[in-house]
Amino acid sequence: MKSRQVLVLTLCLLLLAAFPVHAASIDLEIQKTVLDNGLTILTCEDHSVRTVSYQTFMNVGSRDEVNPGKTGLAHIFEHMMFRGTEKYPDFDEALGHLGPETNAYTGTDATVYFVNVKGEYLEKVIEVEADRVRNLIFNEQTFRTELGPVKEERRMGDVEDPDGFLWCEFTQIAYLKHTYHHPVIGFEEDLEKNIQVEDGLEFKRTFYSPGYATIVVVGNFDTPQVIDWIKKYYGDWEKQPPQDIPIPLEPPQTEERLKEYVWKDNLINPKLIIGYHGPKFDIMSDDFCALNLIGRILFLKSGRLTKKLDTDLQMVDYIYGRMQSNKDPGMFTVSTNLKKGESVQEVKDIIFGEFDRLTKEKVSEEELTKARNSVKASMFYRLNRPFSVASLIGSYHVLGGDHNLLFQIEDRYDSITPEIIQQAAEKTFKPTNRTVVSLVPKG
Amino acid sequence: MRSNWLKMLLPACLICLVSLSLFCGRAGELEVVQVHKSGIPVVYFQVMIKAGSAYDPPGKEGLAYFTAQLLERGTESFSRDEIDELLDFISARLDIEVNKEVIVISGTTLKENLDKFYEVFSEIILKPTFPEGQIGKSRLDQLDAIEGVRESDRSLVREGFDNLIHRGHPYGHLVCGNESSVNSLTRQDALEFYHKHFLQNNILLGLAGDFDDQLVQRLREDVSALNVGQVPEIEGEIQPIAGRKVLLIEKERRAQTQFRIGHPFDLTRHSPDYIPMLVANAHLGKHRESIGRLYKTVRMDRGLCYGAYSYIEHFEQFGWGKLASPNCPRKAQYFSMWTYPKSVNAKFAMKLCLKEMTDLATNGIPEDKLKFMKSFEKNQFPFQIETPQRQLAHMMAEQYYGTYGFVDHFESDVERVTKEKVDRAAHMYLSPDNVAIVALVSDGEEFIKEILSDQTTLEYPSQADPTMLREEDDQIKAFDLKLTEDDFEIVKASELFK
Repeated sequence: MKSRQVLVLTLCLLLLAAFPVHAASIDLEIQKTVLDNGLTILTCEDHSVRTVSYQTFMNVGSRDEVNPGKTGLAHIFEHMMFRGTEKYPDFDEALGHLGPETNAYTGTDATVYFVNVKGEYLEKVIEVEADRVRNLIFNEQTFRTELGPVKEERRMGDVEDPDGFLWCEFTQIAYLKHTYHHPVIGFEEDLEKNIQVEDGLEFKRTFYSPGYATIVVVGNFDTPQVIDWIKKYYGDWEKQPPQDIPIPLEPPQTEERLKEYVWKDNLINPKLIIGYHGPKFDIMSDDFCALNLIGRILFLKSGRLTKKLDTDLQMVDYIYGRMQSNKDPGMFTVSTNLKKGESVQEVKDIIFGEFDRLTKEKVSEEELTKARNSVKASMFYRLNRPFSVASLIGSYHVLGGDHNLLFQIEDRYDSITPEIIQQAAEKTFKPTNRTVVSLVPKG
Repeated sequence: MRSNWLKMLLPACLICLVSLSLFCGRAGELEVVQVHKSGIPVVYFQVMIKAGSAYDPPGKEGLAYFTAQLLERGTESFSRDEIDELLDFISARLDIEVNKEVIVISGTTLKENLDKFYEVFSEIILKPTFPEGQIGKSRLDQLDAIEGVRESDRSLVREGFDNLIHRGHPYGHLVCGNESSVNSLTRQDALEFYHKHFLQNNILLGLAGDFDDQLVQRLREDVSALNVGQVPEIEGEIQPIAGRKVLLIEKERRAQTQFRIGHPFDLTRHSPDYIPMLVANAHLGKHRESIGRLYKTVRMDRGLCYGAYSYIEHFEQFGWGKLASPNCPRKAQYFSMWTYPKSVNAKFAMKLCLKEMTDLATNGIPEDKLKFMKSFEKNQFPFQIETPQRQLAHMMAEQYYGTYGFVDHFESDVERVTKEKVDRAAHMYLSPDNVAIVALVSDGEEFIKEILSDQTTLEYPSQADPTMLREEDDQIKAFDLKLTEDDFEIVKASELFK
């Protein structure tokens, strides 16, 4: 870089360091209501839009699949939720004419169903959603038929797709005991042979009860009216005692874990995933916030590793990393796609070198301000539609236990110092805490 | 047989006529499409230039992409590093997309950083320097983009299909080019391409979010510094497909067979048949919607695949959602269907898709479904324009296509659709006997044998009972694919895009 450019860049950074992002604070009025049966409702009105996002967060995911041979059940159940009830045998017929954006997704910690519609159709959505979460038909034929798309989804994501394949292998090596070990979609053997319709029914009895559910509504509606509707349609949903299902604890990792795989053809570039065990999702935890910031420091476009490996050396096609957000201790992960012919070992060495540097040197104030700005601005960019706002509120509630944590973001990240970053790095980025998997092309 | 050759000429004429009126605002003033939304302190920029890959000179395929990538790699005041650093510091976002017809440069910034962002954003468009030190790097990244298409089964089939049906036409190559053409690209090529296309009468400007008139004026004035010039046109005719043609792309050990079926057609947004066809397509298989026939018959009834869909325009998914990106306009479109069953069921699935297409073209839409689909389209439209950026992009698409009022009148236009209009449009525009089929297979020769054999395998998911659908399955199995050995072409994935 020419000296003039270095000077200009330095001056820019110094100037910008004086201008951290404040923006307006996140300005959301969220009301929380809890019904007698334990159902939680979070509402946030926005009359500047025509639409509303109605999301049901079920506090159950693949993490809760503790029985051997029954992996993938949460996801299968999510699929089955679109198969109809006695009252509405065809979910699409029930709501399709309202033009909904509707889908669902299952993760490690929660399963989320969403229906986005024009505000005037919200009551119908509530009625249908209340019906299917309680009265889902779960019979052998529909169960067997729906296993087909589940298996094809798995094939598409974890068998045919090299990135999906590698991630699936990574979690099995990184987690030995905890249920984050198995893929959300389940193991092939369980989908093919082990899971029976009775398992689905048992799953429903165990987890699909009001205490496990949080409804998040954002958009153009009137809160008292929506609460009335929800009471009307969900009020007699029977309260169940909370299930005490112990999730196996993951023991501390004591040595590095390494594995290399060979892909079935030579049409891929080498791939790498590196992971370090870290804290659970907790905005009040210094370590969690620090690791989130480290993700930015390393992997923004101008971040240390992106700049070095992608921009300058062009050893990788892309590189990305972050602290995962999980209910139980998650991982700081790095995923990268190397350029053809580049050495996995050399790329690893550069990555490890940067982690090591974080443990030995404090990050600069400029880097930290940049990272903080990124975290805070990301929140604002998500406020552009009811769906994103509802997702944000719901995930903070489910993962963090309290949606109000959203309003702590600015203060919490502002409180993270270079010292705290270094301490978090020292705790986390130890070789003995590391899992590394790689995938190389055939032959 | 419909006069497809005449229908192919029509879009070429339309393109000429429409392009004269595009991007011409009031006399002496550049048009800036605006969507004001206060409340969230964010400003969105979109700049669209008619400079997509269809304008790549022969032998220089990928030049538009090459030029576009270089824009953010150095300007008069900022080096690449400085651009990256500044944008990250203020947490602004910059995206440069290249499609067949346009380059779209999008930016997002918090309002408080608007001035700093604008400095960089405007230079990227108006004062790029195409630094010599970035040329080799850009080529390498572009070659990787080609590798990326080969790696992804979905991209391979989609691009393979797009290229096949546009063979010989400027659309008929990857946006990022092929290996030999990319290796030939030079800084001078990029400079010439830039100066040829980045003209003030070839650029469409858009702003959305929380901004004021000062920004509008500033943008207008700054872009007025670009030259005025001859707006290049896309030349070439798209050849209709005669009969059914199959391209098999070989890739080792595939457990699924991704395939696309379809053909070019002359349906554009200008046509009074566009909205009726939109309704017809919702009935057949709108992307990732579960209301369509393809989804129902392939997935819900038989569990053969995770999804099956149809399209009446080129479709690029917008992020992780279901909606199309409105930033890839094309004036020559095509119909297609896409699914990816387990390989053993590929032949059955192809027959099923073609049968559904034939049913729609022949019999039209059932009356009860018409009302349902119209209601669906009308009521879902607000999501197309739900965010300021999407609303802006749709309004810019109106400018691009010349379909003024498309957004404002969409719901009422759908309301006016009748069964007669849908049936007529489906019959006119869908040609199931003249399609290209592109499929990803492990062994091309084996697949051909299977397709041409008398047998059609159907394997239901484990222990699912096929009894109720047996009669229907037999009808589908009996569907004639009308293929002979001469209709097939086999190519290895590794040999594509060389």
